[in-house]
Amino acid sequence: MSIKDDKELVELTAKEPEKGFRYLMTKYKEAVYWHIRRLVVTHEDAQDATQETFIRVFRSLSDFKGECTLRSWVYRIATNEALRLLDRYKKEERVSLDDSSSELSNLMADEFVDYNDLEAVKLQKAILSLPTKQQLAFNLRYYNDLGYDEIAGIIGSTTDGVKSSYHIAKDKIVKYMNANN
Amino acid sequence: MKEDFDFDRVGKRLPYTAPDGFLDDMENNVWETVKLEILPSKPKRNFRLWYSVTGGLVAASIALLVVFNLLPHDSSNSFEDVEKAFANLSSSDQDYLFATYQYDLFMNE
Repeated sequence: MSIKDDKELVELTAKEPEKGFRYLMTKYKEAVYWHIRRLVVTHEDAQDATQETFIRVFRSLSDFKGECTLRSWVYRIATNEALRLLDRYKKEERVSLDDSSSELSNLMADEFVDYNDLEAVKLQKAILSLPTKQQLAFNLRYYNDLGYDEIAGIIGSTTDGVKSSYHIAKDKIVKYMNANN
Repeated sequence: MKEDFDFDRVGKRLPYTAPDGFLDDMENNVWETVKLEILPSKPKRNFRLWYSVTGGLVAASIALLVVFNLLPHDSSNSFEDVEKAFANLSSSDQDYLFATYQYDLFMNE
């Protein structure tokens, strides 16, 4: 089955819900899961947030007006779900959203982490030590290869703001990696 | 001087793992949740209502037939019976009935 564009996929989902649903899931579920996983760290939380993301996507797909791409829209919902979950944890711990200590401790505690790949673990620690906006800008650019303008739409920033956040994040990561070498 | 960290050394590699097939399970869970909201549910036949309405209609039809005397009946037979009964009456009784009912609107229409 080949779907030409977002509009066609939305129309397919309206006409044949299960077919449209399966197509959308095949296209986005993996990318969305890993995007969320990089933010929330543990598999269990990432799974919950991904599931909630797609429930929200399908509940409101008929309201999608095509003002941005469907991919951006799905990523925005996914990002909000991940941040909502982190926010809930931060409130329970009464610390700020940019305090990365809980994600770092999750990284050390989660059973689905390969601690043999020390450099990859360290890189994630470096990313998790960044403020949220810089984390998002870096992850969406570095791992998902998204353009600055698309990232700006997803995280509610400007293109210049995202560019700046990305470069600052990159510098901080290099410093972190060098310092912990 | 120490060399700067090179991103290519790690690339997009993540230290995270995930259980096999969990994404398919999750997809099915999501579908089970959203399908009830997305797919129009088939209207369930309400047998109680169905029987009540049908019974009511049948009762109303019978009542109408009885009230307006629409049930088929053999009028020729009943008229012959009346004729026979009238013939068996005495002449004085026959005269009385004539005198009583000759101006009856319903019997003479």
